[in-house]
Amino acid sequence: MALTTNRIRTTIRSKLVVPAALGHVGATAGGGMATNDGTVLFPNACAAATWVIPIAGLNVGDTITCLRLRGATAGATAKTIAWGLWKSVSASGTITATLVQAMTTDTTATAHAIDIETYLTTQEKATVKYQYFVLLTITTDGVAATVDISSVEVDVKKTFGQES
Amino acid sequence: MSLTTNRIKTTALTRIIVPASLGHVGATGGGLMANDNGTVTFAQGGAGVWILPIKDLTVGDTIMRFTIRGATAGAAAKTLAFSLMKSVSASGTITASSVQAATSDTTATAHAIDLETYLTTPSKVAVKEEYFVKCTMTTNGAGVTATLSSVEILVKKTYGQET
Repeated sequence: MALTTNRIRTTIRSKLVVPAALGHVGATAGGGMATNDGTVLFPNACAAATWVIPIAGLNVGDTITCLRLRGATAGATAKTIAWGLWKSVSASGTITATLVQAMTTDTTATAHAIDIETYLTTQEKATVKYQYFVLLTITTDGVAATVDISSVEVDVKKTFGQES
Repeated sequence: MSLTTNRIKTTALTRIIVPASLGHVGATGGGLMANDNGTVTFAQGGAGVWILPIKDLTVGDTIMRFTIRGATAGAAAKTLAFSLMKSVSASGTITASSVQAATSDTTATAHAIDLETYLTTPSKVAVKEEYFVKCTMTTNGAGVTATLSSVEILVKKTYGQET
């Protein structure tokens, strides 16, 4: 017979896998999901195209400690992959978005796998009324450079078990 | 040293954050996500529907409350209606039904949307069901917009015992 209780609190570390395809085009178009592999492709000649990936799977009270961006680039010319963790909160008449931390920018020109890991300088505790997202800003040259984004992995400390 | 067991079942209340931009346009267009804020904006004159599926529910979870977060701008009329819905598959169709509607937000002045609704009868997630929030946003008059940020779902979960 199992013991049933609400008096045990357990903290765990979890890695949320957030597919890039859960996101959407931001204020500057360029990236799209016209592939059959569940990724988001930025073709050549993107000029600071943005893509917003909402972080699904967070609960109030979770602590975000680290993010990793996964994907691939093709072409041997310039590209810039900038990304950051953002949060937004409602106010009267507007919703205010704030940069939690800018992540390490990838400017490697050669084709490579994207695997950028950035720990938060100050761990971010998910707070009531806030929602969190990753904002990608991708620039590719006009020749043959492309960027393909697969997912964001989010390291989170979660607490289970005690009723709040 | 950690204890590994599947013989302890723990219940807990947790609040799931569901970003509004995880949703999609419903039967009536109007909501736009083309911004860098992770939000969904309904421009002036819209009467759009936005469907926000609730991720991270598990069969057996009990939904206790849902809270809509966002903002409106402009000093003219707007009607923001929200309903927690569930759907289930049947032969030839999928049937959606309202679990509970929130009190409509009809405040004319610009304000933050922070609309909390406790379910009269907490809803236990059953096999074959999926849950979503249906947002019906009507904005009228010059300069009126409504923007959705997220929905927070208060859920009672059970952890620990393998099923």
